Amino acid sequence: MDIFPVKGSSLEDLKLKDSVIILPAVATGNVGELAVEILLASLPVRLAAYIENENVLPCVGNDPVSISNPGALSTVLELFEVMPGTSSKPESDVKVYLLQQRAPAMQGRQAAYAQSIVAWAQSHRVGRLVVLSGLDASLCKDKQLLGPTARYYSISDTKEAAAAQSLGIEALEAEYLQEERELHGLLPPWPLLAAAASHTLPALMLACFASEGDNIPQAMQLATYTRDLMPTLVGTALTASAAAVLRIPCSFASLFGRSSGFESFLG
Amino acid sequence: MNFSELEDVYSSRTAQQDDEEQATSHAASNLECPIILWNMRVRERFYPEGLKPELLVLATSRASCALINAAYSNKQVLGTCILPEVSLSGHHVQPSLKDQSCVLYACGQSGEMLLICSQYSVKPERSVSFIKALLHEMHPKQVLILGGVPSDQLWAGDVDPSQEAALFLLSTEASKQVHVSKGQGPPVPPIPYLPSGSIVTGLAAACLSYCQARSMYADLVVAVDMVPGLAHLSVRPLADAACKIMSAVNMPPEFFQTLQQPGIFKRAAMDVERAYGSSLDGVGAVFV
Repeated sequence: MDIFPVKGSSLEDLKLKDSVIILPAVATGNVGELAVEILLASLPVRLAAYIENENVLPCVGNDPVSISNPGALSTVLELFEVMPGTSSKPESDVKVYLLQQRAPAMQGRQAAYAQSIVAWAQSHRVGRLVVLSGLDASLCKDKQLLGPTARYYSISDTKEAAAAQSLGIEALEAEYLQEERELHGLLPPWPLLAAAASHTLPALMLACFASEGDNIPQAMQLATYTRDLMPTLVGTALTASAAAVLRIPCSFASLFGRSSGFESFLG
Repeated sequence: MNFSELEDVYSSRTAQQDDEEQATSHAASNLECPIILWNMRVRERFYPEGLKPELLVLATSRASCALINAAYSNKQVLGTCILPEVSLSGHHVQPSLKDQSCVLYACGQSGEMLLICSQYSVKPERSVSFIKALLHEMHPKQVLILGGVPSDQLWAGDVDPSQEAALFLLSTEASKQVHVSKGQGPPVPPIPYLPSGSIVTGLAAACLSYCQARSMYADLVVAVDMVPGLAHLSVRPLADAACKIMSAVNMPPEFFQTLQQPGIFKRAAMDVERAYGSSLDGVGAVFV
């Protein structure tokens, strides 16, 4: 796995030590990627680096977030820095990064991909990971069908758990967790969380129950929780991010392919 | 961007778990490098100080391979890139459009253009290692990728590719700065940018990503193919688009003017039909 800082900057400029990296797990309903895309469209961010990982399928596209700069190329793995605000108070030295993943790892390489990401994060002494994911709604029990659909699951650090609880997010039920791991343990987000646990890298998963279909509402919910969680994770106010109104990226307009012309429905 | 293919929308996670388990034992083979064989006589003649052409052209679709073959008849075989898992049985001695192969050519008096005709159906899992092996020794000033994308899977724009030629551009950040209008106003690309929401995968995407990460000047022209059997119809639009890009990056006129000769793209279109047939048994649905 290789990281390429954008032109004009270097690896030393990234300041990954003790940082928080928010990344999606390519899982049920692609909720994680949608949520990160919403955050990229809404928060003040700066493209920091491109990441090459041979385990991830390649893809490119234009203007995923906005069309203010037409022809802005996006690749499969990109690291964005969340910019601090411009208030008079000193902002935290702890940086927050969004690592967007726009394609799945190839079949048979989920565990290898997870290990490579976590090993890379650990080699740069990243502070913690926040994994955004969808959870298979078909495994929900009766009591999970009512009420909020967001859940959290924390590895090795109670700070993240307390932060998620303060936002009113419920802990992922042990029964669901066990069943999911038994049935789908090789699929995201579990390899990523297992890799974080084996490398003793603190990680928090924020997830929503979802099925395949239109999961923009679930993604918006996750993005809202993530935005509200950031100040707690970095220890001080990220003023610009905390106040950001979440926006739908322009690429969501064609999320379900080309629209059929209405001419075929006219009598 | 939602990557669920139509047939996977309703598949269960249990099936995906089984697939993941079965694929784990052999998936690492996708990361193995292909084998590159060089014609050292040609390489030392044209590139004595390393592979540094003015322009590297990578053709990844049937139409673009046929176009390159027809347009640059004076090219010389520089090498070949071999995927070990693809059989060479039935291959022709001389490079042929019908072969599953990837041939590298030097073109121009001093090898100003390096052409790569990738006639393999390189699956996305193999694309990254394929491109890294191809490009890691090369340092072109500019890269031009000519590719295609199936309309039924990854095309989400408004243009109907069954009714009109749909060609679009993706450029690295470095290359975007080159495509500026001469006068006032925003940058004007030679052909329209790929609309937001559509994506390109596979070999072309791997190449453009490689160039973007390394701040190289690179452009990808994609033709949206309605039906693979009608690929010959995109030869002329591809030729026009390639011509505009080469002109925009200040390539010597003799390299792109040849693309504008009517005989060239007619011959290329015929070559595509002859090599691949013009049957309609491709992917995608046609509504009548």
